Amino acid sequence: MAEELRFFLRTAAYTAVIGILYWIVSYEWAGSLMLAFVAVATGLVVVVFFLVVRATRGPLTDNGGGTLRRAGLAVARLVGFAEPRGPAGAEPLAAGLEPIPVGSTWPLVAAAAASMIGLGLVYGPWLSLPGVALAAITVWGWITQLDTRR
Amino acid sequence: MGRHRGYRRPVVALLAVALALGACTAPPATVEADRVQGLYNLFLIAAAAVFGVVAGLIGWNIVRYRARGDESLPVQTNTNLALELLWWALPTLLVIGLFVASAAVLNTNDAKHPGAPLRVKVEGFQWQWRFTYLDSKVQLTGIPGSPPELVLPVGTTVDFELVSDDVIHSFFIPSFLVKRDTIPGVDNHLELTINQQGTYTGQCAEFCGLLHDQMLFSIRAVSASEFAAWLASQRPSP
Amino acid sequence: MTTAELERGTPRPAVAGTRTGIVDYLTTTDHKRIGLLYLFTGLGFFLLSGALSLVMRAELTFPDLQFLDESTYNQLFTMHGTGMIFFFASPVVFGLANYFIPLQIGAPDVAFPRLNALTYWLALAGGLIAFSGFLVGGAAAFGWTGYAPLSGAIFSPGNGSNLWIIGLAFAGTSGILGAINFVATIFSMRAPGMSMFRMPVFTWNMLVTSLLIMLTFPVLTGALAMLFIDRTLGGHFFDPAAGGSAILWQHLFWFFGHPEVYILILPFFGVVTEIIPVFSGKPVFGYRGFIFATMLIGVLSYSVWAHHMFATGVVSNLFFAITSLLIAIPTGVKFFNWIATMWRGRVRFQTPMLFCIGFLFMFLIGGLTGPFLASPAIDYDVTDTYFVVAHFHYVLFGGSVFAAFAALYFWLPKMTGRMLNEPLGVTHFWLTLAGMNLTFFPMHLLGLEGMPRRIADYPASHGDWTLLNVIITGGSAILAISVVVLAWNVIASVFMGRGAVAPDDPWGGYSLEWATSSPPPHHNFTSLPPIRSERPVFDARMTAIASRPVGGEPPVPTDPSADQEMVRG
Repeated sequence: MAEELRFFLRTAAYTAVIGILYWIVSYEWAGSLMLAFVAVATGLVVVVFFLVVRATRGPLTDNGGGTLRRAGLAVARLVGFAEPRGPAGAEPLAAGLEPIPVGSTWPLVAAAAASMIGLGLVYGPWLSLPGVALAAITVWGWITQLDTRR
Repeated sequence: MGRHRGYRRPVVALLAVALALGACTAPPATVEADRVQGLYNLFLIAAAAVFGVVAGLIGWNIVRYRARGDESLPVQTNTNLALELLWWALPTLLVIGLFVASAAVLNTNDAKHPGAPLRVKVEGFQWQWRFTYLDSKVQLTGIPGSPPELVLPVGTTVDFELVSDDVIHSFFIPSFLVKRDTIPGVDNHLELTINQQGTYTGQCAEFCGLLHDQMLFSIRAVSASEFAAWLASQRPSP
Repeated sequence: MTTAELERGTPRPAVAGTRTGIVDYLTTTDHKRIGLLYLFTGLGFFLLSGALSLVMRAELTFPDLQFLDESTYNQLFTMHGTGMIFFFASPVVFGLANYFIPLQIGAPDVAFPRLNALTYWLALAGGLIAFSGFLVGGAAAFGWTGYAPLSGAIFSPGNGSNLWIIGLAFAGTSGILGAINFVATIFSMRAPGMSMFRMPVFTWNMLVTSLLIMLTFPVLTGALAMLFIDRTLGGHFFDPAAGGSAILWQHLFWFFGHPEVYILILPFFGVVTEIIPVFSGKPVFGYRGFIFATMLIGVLSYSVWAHHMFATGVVSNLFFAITSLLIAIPTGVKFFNWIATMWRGRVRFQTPMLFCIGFLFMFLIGGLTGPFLASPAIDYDVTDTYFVVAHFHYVLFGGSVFAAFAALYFWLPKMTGRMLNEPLGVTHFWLTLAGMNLTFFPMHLLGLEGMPRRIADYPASHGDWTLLNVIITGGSAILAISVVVLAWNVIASVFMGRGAVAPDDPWGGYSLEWATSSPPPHHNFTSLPPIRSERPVFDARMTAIASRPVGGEPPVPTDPSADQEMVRG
């Protein structure tokens, strides 16, 4: 099992066990529920990872296999899972340098929109509603931004 | 940086720890506080021992293994399973020992004895205290700048009922080595038995707003007979 | 333009071969620029929050209020804590992580560069919003822990408290998004050959830290939302009179709050574990054991939160005593790993290593006062006193800040292309060590003598309290001077260009950030050495030495720490 998967599994296992122990010892709702949610959240990641890792053992173009494998492939494509890397020991950068996108105004504008919404929660809708509008514009701009490469 | 300086830091630190050992806590004045003092001393000895060993090893490294000019690469040792198991095992044993001691003192000190001879209600409010002797209905109320003095008998188990009228406060008497929060909506209890006569300062220890720093009080512990006389004098005349 | 061709006196660009105008920084998505923004913002809040504490210390030196009133004092200690934890320590962690995770794993950037930039701007906005309380009639004044019902609308009216909530919510959101980014980067963008167990320890620690952030910051944000609803929308989550629970806030806050302190220290454990091996000439001892200890700390930290609540009387003290004492074990084990790393090494004492050794002693002291607080019976006495203040300042200042300074001296040459001045660095170290101990050690004694925390004033009847407070204030003055020394070093060496030009690898490093120029080019690497162990640059250096012609000198480790003299003018 991949180390990445075990990493989440340890947290899920521990918080599940300790959550049950804590409930038995205290009957305290807040802590027990929070531990349970941590266990569920990390457990969910484990399940998804497991599907994806198992499904992508073979070549990604092969769409055969059982339901579980096809589900895993679908998730893998959805999250943009790349082709498996070269074998360990392959020379790094052997494929050449990739262009890296540089610069975007949208993060700054998004933070400004968030600030308007946040401050608007304190000072009134006259500030937060324009903030929501700006946030909508930002989402659109962000999604549709093309790579600007130098 | 002279070579001898590698010794100085651990020695200074150890002296500082020794100073702390001497200063210690406020002298304990209750049966429970005596147990806490004993537990504290145990922890302090353990901490000082660990500090001595670890700081000594670090100091040794600094002095013995400092680079001296142009040398070949040292042996690139990076693992030793026996050693690693040892230094996982030893702290674990120490921690288990400390926990057992802690559990013993905690269970004894926090034990509740139904039917305690003296019940006192402690109300925290912004920013003073109100003490009520529940059986005799005598009440003392403090005002900022004029802290109330709670009179209690030595040798009698007192059961404090701790409540709050507004925000969370904390009933703290340093000489008793204990504090307990007063929380709105919660009925807390604290039991203790004073074993030394004297006057002890107390103070709110949970930040509660503007004049938190002025939420003082004191406890005067007297003999049982003195207490009975004092309580009688406080009762409103029939 | 090679490093050799740049003269002293010329400011270096943050990214080799690019311009550095303001617009570049406002629109950057480059993890290196974002990292620098985080670092300098964090240092700015360090200065601001530190200034607040100096004012507090001036007032506390003698009994009776001299020049502050209680209201102002309460705002000062609240914003000192808030500023240091959320807007200094966290941004420094994120700055170092941003800059060095991609470099250490051989990646050209993080997985989501625009999201990365957003996290920085949100963090900056959060800090400004939280501190803006001072400008609108009073900042939050209920302690960085914001306990209900004190933090509710009845007992803390005013917009300063609302702005505090919004500011922290921004910090929380920023952190969560950043953590997601780091995990995605580490999982999916490692260079070929860089398996999980060949990653540098700093990157491993950031991975564990990111998981902690992702799972606990949402709890804080939720609690803040509930508090905001109570304050402004007529909610009663924390109002006992209407069926709510005051203690619920504490459960929610500390479920976040305790992992938060591990979030603030684990990355710095990673930093120290990068520096000590390099300056000892040996690999880290017990690499796997170390990572296992880090993961154990991460996981255990979910189950210790109510040791902050022992004195409330409403939590299971025994349960949390066990878990809290247990978490001391993996933390303590690391000390033996660090000691074994230096053992039989060739230890060099340049400033990064000085601060690491200071860290070892200071965090040892802070760590040893932890078990006292984990034992409920002792905690009943010392909690909410200056004993706790001493404990967390030893682990936060002596731990995180010392390690942050170590990281600064170690990595600023890589980030800016300029070496910092070594004599000034040594001076900074000794001033900080002396100032820190004079300031925080006496606080243990004050706490044991019963001085509570968060009090603006104390009575003159406690004679020895006054003496200890005078010593503490003196120590804080030394710390102030030490910060001036640091600031001068950074300004003169980096911004005025007086520092020596930094080579690719000034220290004889082990991990991939030393395999590229200082600062790195736009895509981080023009070439990567083969990755066969957790020390690829060390391996490459040894290979280069070993492949010298026969009859040459025996292999020696490069000792590239040249004298760093400030050039005048």
